[in-house]
Amino acid sequence: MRLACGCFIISPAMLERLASHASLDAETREAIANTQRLEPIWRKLRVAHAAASKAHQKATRVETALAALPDAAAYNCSHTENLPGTPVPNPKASSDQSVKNAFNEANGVAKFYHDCFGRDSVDGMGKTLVSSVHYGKKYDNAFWNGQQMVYGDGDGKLFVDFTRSNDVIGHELTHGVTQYTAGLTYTDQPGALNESISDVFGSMYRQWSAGQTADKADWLIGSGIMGPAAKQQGYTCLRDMADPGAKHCVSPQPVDYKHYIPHGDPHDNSGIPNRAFCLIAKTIGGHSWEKAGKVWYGALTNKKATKSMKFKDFAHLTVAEAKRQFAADPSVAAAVTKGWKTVLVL
Amino acid sequence: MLSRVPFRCAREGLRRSLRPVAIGWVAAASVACVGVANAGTGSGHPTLNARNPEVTDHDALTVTQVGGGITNTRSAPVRVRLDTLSPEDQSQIRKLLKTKGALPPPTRSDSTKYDITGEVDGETRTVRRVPEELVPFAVRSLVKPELPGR
Repeated sequence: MRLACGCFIISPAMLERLASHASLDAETREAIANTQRLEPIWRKLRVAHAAASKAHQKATRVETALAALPDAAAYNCSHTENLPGTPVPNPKASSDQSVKNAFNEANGVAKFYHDCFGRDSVDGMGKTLVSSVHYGKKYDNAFWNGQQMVYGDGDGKLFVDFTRSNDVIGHELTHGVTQYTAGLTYTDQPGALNESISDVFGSMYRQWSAGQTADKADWLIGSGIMGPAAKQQGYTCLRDMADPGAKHCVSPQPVDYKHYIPHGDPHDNSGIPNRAFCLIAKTIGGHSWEKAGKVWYGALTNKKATKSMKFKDFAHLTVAEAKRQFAADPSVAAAVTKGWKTVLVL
Repeated sequence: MLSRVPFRCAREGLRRSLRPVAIGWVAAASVACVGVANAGTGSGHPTLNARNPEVTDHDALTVTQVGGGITNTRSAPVRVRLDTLSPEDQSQIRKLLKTKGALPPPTRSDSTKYDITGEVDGETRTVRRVPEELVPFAVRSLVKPELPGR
């Protein structure tokens, strides 16, 4: 079984043992031997692909502020798990609301990144934004699979169509941005930072679309996808960035570093940096994307950002970015420091 | 050799086209049995076999959704009889249960995770936080997320 990232579940040593195992018939042994021969080639290709991508990014770095918006495309999985599914012609005018939402909001997120941060698509180089809707049967999730966004329809009780919440779409696309920038690994603190950055930019995109200031925003994640059964029980969102431990969250989170869950799911511990961002944006005031957002984006794309950085590393980067970008306004760096201190990271 | 290729392709195609139908029937029949069996055993774990509720670890898996995905929802544990799964799915589960040490990292950021317990080589084993991509659909489709208790 080959995984999409080029990682393999069966080790080369195990393949070698199987290829010579007497209990297997000749055809099977030959198939295993072929797999064994192909594996090193795959691994070399993966390494070469990564190196080529880096080199290409360096060679073609352009002034993205002047670049056109990236293309977007929508596909229909028709309730299967086959990706990307069937292409939808003219998705903007589709009678399928999920297609329309996914397509229009993907374009919206692209414009948000372009206009606010000068970024050309998730990879910074105009990558086409592919969205697949109606994934699986009553699939209760949405995800970025390393190449594209995928949305389920929800079961209709706990969750409804995942394209209905534009912060969910912003969240998924931001996983792509993180992948092409800091490349945060998906475990422990780097994993929680990865999730938090998706929530932060997803929420900011929602605020930007509505023209809201930080004090007027509700800071909820996934409020548009809650189904009738969830609402009936008082659940209004997946997560609340302003109050991560609130009872109205389907997935309540620790509110500060003192309550960090060792080896917890990234979606659990992401509440800590989420709250820091919310506090900082509210302290600075105005539109979150104009100062706090620029600081976060600067830290994410900073050369010192590493895939294994922890909360404290990222916090220091944001403070440094605040001082660099807003040198004339020390209140920004002060707000950033205070926010991280409140959640006990600094 | 040439004459065998079209036959093998056609046979494989037919087998593949029939498999989802078969899994669908098994899953539908299994889901229909869950409530009845659960009421009978009182174990707190739904089982997929109403006639023989005393399903052992040897015959069944216990599968729980433990979070992950943008929703990060959990589920109650579900008992899944191994003989309701296709040979390919059983083989995939066996490989997972034999996994020692860390699983491969999830291929996607928002991957839903599952804990799976079952017997392999006479030993009951649990693998934790298995990414959705490694869990057969026939197993995942039986596990439903729940809202947290209040």
